[in-house]
Amino acid sequence: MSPIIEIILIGCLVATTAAIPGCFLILRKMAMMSDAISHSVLLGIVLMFFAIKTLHSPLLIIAATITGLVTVVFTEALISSKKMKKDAAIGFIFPLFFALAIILITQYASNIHLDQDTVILGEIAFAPFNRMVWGSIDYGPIAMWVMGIIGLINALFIGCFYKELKIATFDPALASSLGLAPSRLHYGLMACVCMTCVGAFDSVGTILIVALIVTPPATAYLLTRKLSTMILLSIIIGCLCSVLGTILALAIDGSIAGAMCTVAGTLFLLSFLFSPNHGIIHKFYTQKQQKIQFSAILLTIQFLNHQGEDSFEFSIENLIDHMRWSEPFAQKIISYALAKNYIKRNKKAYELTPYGIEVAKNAMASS
Amino acid sequence: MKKDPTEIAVSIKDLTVAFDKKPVLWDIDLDIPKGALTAIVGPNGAGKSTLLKAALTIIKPTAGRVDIFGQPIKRQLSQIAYIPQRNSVDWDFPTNVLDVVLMGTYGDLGWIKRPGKKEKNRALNVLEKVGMETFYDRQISQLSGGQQQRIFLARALVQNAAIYIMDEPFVGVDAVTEKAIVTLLKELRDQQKTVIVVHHDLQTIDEYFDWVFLLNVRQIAFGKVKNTLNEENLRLTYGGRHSFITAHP
Repeated sequence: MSPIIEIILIGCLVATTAAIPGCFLILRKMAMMSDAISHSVLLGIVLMFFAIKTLHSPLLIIAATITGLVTVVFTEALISSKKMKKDAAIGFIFPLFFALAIILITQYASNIHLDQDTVILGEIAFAPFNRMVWGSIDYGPIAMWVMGIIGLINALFIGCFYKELKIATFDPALASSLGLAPSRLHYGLMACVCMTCVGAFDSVGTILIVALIVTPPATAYLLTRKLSTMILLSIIIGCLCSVLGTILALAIDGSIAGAMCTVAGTLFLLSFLFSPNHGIIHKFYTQKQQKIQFSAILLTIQFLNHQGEDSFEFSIENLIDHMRWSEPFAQKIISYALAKNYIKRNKKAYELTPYGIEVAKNAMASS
Repeated sequence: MKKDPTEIAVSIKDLTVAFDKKPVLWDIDLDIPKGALTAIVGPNGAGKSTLLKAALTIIKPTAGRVDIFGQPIKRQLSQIAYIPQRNSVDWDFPTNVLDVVLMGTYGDLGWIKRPGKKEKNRALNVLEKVGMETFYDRQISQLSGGQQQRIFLARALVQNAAIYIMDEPFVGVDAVTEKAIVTLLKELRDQQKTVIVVHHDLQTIDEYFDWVFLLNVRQIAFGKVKNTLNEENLRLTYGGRHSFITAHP
């Protein structure tokens, strides 16, 4: 396999692995917990590295997962003590752990691969150099295997406990009254997030993994109103980020992880603007349509109430003078009402059609 | 007088809940009879919702025990359908009406197993009972307050429990829906089910409920509505402020 393809594949695996628990984090309104976890896992990695003196052991993942969970427990304990608000508690615990890790690295491990830059940014471009070789057979990059296994664990966890996670997220009180332990599920989900952060740590680093956990699910949330579709869409969007991001990085000769997250941000922005049901443009358009529709109906009511009176009441000048509409707006409403056959032209003024009379009467009766 | 334990649906003994040193519920003793409509009434902060949550082991009481039909609550959770306050959930959650009602079957299904055709039919059945059958594939974000409450009720009905516990079901609900819900609750009672409701409106207690529990951190009174809902007890519960709320004698 060419290194580019391998990089794209690893990127897809990272994005998929991150998107699966990410959907539930978004829905539980705890997206920032992923930021906390992704930073504090470093402490676990460093401590385990000192204990076993190697960076290539599953023990590192276990230690990191434990520190991630400890962060969650500490943060939640601080929140429930009511002495600190949620955001402050998150912002207090993880930088502390992260700072400890950085001090340990700079003091005792400055001559090894664990330097601050790799930790923060990661470098997916180097991932294909680190290969899994058994005997004399090359099984591909280690990162691919690590992310593949973690992704599988995440998929299995969410696949098995999909219904439990759904109810525990939507209505934790009901879940617990049905005996479906929401707090155990919560820590299970957090463990998934921890493992994802550790696995992704080498390839995209601690900051950018947050973008991959949060952004594709947030984008998918704007595009669908079904949980299973949301998970599927966020995986597709994540993979799209990996492919387009790598292409972009090659084109501009820049950081691959950075390009992936830029693509993720762009995709979010696009769906924020253009989502068929929740996009800003759609909302703006429907609001405008509704305003025109409402005003046209108002116009029919106005005409109905003044029927048989002076023809000034039925002129566009009246709309401008009495109803205080601007001239272009009045023109727009008149042409809308004409198109809808609410009114018709009668010499210089307008008059209601029989259909327009019906519309006005219905509108008054229903309010 | 010794009561027959099989006639008691929920028995609460010496229940106290405290957050930091502040008691929210003080030493509650309560025997709620089977096959009746019971209202739990008290001012804001009286601990009504806390009483329900502690009785359901959603929050851990500082002291006290709860028995359901004479058995410890832990083994009896399947007998109870709990309907939380409507605003306790995020109605923007990406799911539809049928899916929310199906959640009521999750307790029976247990871990890992997914709801199948049988569960779907049960869910559609109860949706018909609450008059929401045509809404089954509607997004929950598009429902009105009354419709949301009907969905919650349907979700409880599908559990087919012996005891229904509801937290303020009539808040933000129009008069038609309120009457429809009361009719359903009375039907449940007539089928010998036990219904316990946290209620706010003193005016309607008479009309809707058989028993009433007056609570303000401590228990004030419990009994049949006509014997219990009197001026003296209301004064003890609301500290005289109830005259603003009701013109009850």
